[in-house]
Amino acid sequence: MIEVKNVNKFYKNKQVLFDFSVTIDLTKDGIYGLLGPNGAGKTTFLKVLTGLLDYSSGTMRVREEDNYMKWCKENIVLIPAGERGIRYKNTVYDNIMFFAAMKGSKEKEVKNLIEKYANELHFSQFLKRRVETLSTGEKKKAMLLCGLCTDMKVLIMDEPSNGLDIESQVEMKNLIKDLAKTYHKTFIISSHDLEFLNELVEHYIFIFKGKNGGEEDRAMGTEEIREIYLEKRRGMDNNEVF
Amino acid sequence: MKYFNAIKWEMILDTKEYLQYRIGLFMDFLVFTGTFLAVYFMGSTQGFVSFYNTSEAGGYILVLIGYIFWQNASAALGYCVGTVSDETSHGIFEIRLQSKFHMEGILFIKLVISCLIHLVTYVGIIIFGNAVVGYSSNDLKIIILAIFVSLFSLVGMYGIGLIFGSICICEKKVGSLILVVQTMLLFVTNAISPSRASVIYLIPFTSGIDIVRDIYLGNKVSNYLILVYVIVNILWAIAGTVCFRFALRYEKRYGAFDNY
Repeated sequence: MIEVKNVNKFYKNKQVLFDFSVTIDLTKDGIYGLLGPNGAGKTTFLKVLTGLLDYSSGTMRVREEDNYMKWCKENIVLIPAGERGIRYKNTVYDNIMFFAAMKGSKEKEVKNLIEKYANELHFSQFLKRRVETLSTGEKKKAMLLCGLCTDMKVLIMDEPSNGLDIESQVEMKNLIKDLAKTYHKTFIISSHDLEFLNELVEHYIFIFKGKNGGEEDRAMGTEEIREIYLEKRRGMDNNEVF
Repeated sequence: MKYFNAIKWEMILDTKEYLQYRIGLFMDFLVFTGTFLAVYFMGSTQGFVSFYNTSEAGGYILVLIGYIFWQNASAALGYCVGTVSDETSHGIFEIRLQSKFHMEGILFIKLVISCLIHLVTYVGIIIFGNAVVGYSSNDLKIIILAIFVSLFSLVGMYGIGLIFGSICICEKKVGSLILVVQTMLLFVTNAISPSRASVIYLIPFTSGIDIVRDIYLGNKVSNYLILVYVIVNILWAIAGTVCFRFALRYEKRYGAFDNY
């Protein structure tokens, strides 16, 4: 269980997270969705969760672990938004080995994981290609593969549907669902794309202006997510007015 | 073991990447050879001939020794800053930040690999030198010695590079500052003009230059000079590491690595 309590985060003088609290249950293999508008603080929160950024106050802990930073480096991997975080001049295979080596994974185990996950993602034929030669969707898959082969318990994906066409989005959704179920991984996906999150995510965390706007622990269709999202957003705005 | 695995894959990816950027390597070759030609035709050798009371050919070798050290130092400085700046803008830095290994050690290994690959840029200088002055076997031994001894100054120059890399982390770009510093290092140190001013020995490679020049001239190498060479490099490496870690902590607390 990751427990985040009253975390505040500043960028220089600007506060972006306000007393943000959430609990992420790792015992259930789940797909968490972090949903909010642009500038809500989704990416910031994910980076704080991964240890890439420090928070100003509050606590973050994992039950039975003393050192959250040490734990998160050994158990969480962030797949960044866009096409960042991958070395274009190197092959997919080399990037995977690099990612995994950075995370301290054993080479032999990684090679087994590459075989397993590359088959799962129908991506084996792309392993020897340089990343710069791949399409946007293929790059996203390559990055997902890099994340999976680190064999981390938690995979965080920041805006994974950005830049993908409809078919690729559907494929990515199905992949994430299968991987979570088959390999008992916890996915935390941040997005503002309701179409992508619907029928994928099982636990919604709504974030508005750096605050936890509420949570829903069930899978929902697009219209239902939209209604709840707008309702929670109105609720947050009203709280601010009063 | 896992750390060595991380270093191994850094080496593999960096080497493969360098081979992709062949034009870049060729341009480095041209720039460094061109700079040396400019230095040679500026008549820098004359200063060494009178300062060290040696021959024209001897003067040339003494300039070449200084230039080899400067070239390695300059490349180290440019590489550190370029790597931090480049990796931050492409998101690779964030991958490194997720690593359980300290970044500084891996960056140093990357620097050494880069410098070893850049040894190819000496080819132009050596060919030119042989055509103009002609080398004896002793001269060739000294050139090889200079290359090897200069590798230790990578430690200190890496430290200075980390200091500028710290600026890159917070400010994202350092503009032409590095070019200015590299040029200054060529002219204010004993690289291409003889000097024994004490203050220049605060720069990591300067005492190394004097060590190799003394060996070439058949002089006794002072233990004090060797000590200065070692200590100055280590101190700069420590200072650079401290600055870099401070910059990382500051940026993690108040900044964002992907804001350009």
